[in-house]
Order: sequence, then C-alpha cells, then structure tokens
Amino acid sequence: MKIRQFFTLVLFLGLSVPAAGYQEVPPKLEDPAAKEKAEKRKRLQEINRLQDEAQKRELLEKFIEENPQGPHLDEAYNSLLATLLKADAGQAVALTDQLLARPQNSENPWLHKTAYHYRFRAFQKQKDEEAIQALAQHVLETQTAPDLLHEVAGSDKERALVLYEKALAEKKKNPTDDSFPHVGHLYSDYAGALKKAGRKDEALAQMSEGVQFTADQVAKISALPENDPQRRPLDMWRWELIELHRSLARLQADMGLHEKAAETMGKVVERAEKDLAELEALPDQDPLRQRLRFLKETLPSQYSSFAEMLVDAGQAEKGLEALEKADRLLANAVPDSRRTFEQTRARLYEKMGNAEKAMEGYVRAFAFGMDPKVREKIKTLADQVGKPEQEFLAQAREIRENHAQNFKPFELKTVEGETKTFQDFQNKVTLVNFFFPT
Amino acid sequence: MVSINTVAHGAEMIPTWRAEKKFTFPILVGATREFLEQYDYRGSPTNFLINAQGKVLFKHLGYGPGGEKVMEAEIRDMLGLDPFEG
Repeated sequence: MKIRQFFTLVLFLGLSVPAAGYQEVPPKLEDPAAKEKAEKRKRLQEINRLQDEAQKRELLEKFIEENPQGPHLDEAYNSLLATLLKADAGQAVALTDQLLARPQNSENPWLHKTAYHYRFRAFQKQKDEEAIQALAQHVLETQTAPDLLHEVAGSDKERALVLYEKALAEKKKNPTDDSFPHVGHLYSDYAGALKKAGRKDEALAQMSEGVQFTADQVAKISALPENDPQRRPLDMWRWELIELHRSLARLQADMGLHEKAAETMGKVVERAEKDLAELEALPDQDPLRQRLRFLKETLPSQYSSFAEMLVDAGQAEKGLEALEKADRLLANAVPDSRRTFEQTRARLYEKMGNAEKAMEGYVRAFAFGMDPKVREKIKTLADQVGKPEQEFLAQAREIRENHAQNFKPFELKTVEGETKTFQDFQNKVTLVNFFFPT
Repeated sequence: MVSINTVAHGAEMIPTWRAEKKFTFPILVGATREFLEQYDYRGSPTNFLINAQGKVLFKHLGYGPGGEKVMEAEIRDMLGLDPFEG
C-alpha cells in the first residue's frame, strides 16, 4: 500500500463517523416525494449491510423489481453487480449486457458507466483477455466520460496512452468540474503514459501545461471574496497544484534535469512550510488544525525528495539542510517512518561519497526493520569501510534492544466472547497485529 | 500470533472474513480508542513483534511491497534462525 493511500486511510479513520451511522436530516413529513426517497435509500442501506451474499442479491433484485424507476437505481445496480461479481462473473456480465442495451437517461446518468466498470472487472476476473481488449477498444471509440476512460486506461496497458489522451481531452471541455478525476490528475497520468512511451519532451510539456492551468485556477479562486461559495473547491485545487509540482519535479529528475527538479520541488516545500505556519497559527479549536497532523506526516518525505534532488543537482549542503528539517519533524515518529528516512539519508550520503555516514544510517534503519535490501547495503559498505559486516549488524542489534519497550498487557474478548489476556498468547516470539477489516 | 480488530463496529464481518481466508489465529475485539492510544496506534495494519521477555523489538506501521520479507527475517532472527537463509 503506498504511503499516500495509507495516510488517506488514516485520515479517513480520523474523520470517520460514529458507529451508529450518520444522522440524516429527517425529511419534512409534508413532502411525500422526499419522504419516499429517504425511505428507499434507507432500505437500500439496510440491504447493503447484510452479510449473507445470496440474501443480499435476492433482496436487491426484488428491490429493483419493485422500484424500477428513480435515482436510487444507480446505487442498487452498483450493489447488485458487486454481489454478482463476487459469486459468478458470468452473471455480472449478463446483467451488464442488459443495462448497456438500455438507452441512457438523465435520471440514471451513471448506469452505463457502472455497467462498463463491472463488465471490465468481470472479464478481468474471468481472465478473458480477448474480451478485455474488445471492451477497452469499444470504450475508447464510443465513450466520453473521463472517469470511465481513466479507469480503463489504468487497466489496459496497450491503450493506456490513447485512453488517457481522450480522457484529458474530454475533461478539458469542462476543466473546472471537480468530479473525479480532477483535470490535474489526468494531466499527470497522461504525462506518465507519454513518459513510458519514451515521449519525454511531450510528457514534460503536458505536465507543465497541467501545472500552469492549475496554478491559474488557484489564483482565480483565491481572488474571490472570503464568503463566496465558489471558493469551496480552493483546497482541492491547491492540493492538486502541490501534487502536480511533485510529479513535474519527479519527471524532471527522471530526465536528468536535476536543477529544474530541485527548483520545482523547492516550490512544493515552500508552499508546505507556508501551510504549516498558517495552520499552526490557528486557534486550538479550529477544525482546520486537523490537517496539521497529516501535513507533518507527509512533509518529511517531501523534504527527503527535495534533498535528493538538491544532491543530484550538485547542491549537497542544501540537501543536508533539507534532510535536517525532515529529521526534526521525525523526532517523535514511529520507528518505521524513521527507518525510511534513515535509508534515504544513507543513500544520499552514498551519493556524496561518504561511506561512513551512509553506514550509520543503514545501521539505524536495520535496527528497526530487517530489510534484506538494507542488509545488502551494509555488506557492501562494510567492505568499503574495511570492517567486518558482523560489527555493524551487532550495532543494529544493540540499538534495537536499547529502544525496545515493554508491550503493555491487555485484556480483550475473542470474537467468540472468551476473555483473553496478552499472557495467553505470549510465546518465544509473539506477533500482535492490529487490523482494520475491509 | 493474535489479531486485534481496531474498528468498533466492524466485528460482525469477522467470522465470515476469517472463514473465507481460512485464518487460524485468534481474533480479539472490543478495542476502544483509549485502548489503541496506549499502543500509540496510528493506522492499520500495525504489527508488533515481541520477544519472550515481553519487549517490542519491531513495530511496523502500514504494509508495502516486500514488507512480508522484512517481518519474515525478523521472526527468523528472533527464533534464533539465520534471518536471510534461502
């Protein structure tokens, strides 16, 4: 799981609603249409919560039969297709055949898209390459929804480039539409595909265009008065701008344009530092402060990327300064985050030709995670430094043991209802896994 | 090995999920936010590798490609085996 997705998950947990589900604003009793709509929605939610797949399917089919019209159909078919896909891909395909045969209507704008999405996944499940290819080609030729084109592009290597190209072209017809995928996202994906195809100059041009467009949007929206409702998407655009700059910097670095990469990444870091300062200046109760934690968690990797680009651009001292900033932010981080940082720092010291400092970093990284790749680095560097590998592995072991804290005893119940304590599981080696069921 | 569910309202899914995946290790439920804070829990999955003296030698947050090789080496080392053999 990539770090970005991971922190998105953490963020989601932090913002998740209470276990009882969210409170809907109760519909006005005088409005029968609204009331009926809310009831249908509630019914669908109930059905979706069922664990028994067969029962869920039956009830969904019945629900659709009894309610053949209405905006809830998108969700109902989505759930039904998901359920069918789990049980039998062939049946999912059959249902999508039916749905795609129907004309599009304004009440269910997502029906065809949903059908294509599941049709694609069903063919993937069946590993039917021919069908996947045919479907991708069909989507390319006949569909214009950016999100669908984007989705198929992600799965079809052969047509990825032309699909992303079309998705971007379609999105540019309404570029400020903030439904997924954002235009910036599409610029980035299209540029990535161009790069893969060896068309690097075009990739750079697309990325630059994307950055410029997004920067213009940010400027335009920022100029609106404070309470203008059109300011609402400003955050998303600012976030996109940062992401695009990062992608641009990486692309420039890949193409050996190290000074430009460092300059671009410098803008990202500067913006992040400004955001950090702004957020920290907010009063304690301000809900926007929630972002501080996320920002502090992503900033170190941005500093690390910046540092690497600086080192590659021949600015080692500035690179070390950036690493220092990351180090300070990670002072209280979990060992795994420090591990990644230590590895990056060690790698940069290697680039700068400082084997001893590099070894220090790898030893610290190895102390908190016995990564085979780090072990290889230690082996190689031990030769360079002229000392036995064992000496460094022993250092790592010592650091590990000095940091080891007692695991707090606990008492919890098993799924079956039996009370257990940590003692019940303790062994020569015990693995305690905290998980989030999906 | 023991697994602890971190989500208060996810417990109903567990028996089905466990059967599907054919897991044999015990699964515990009922962890509250306060409980998780005690372990400085910051996200899922979090894996603690604890030795016979009850000390946490490794704490891993998140899961990325190659993550299982790292933990495998750690467990082997803790069991007194060559961590990187084979």
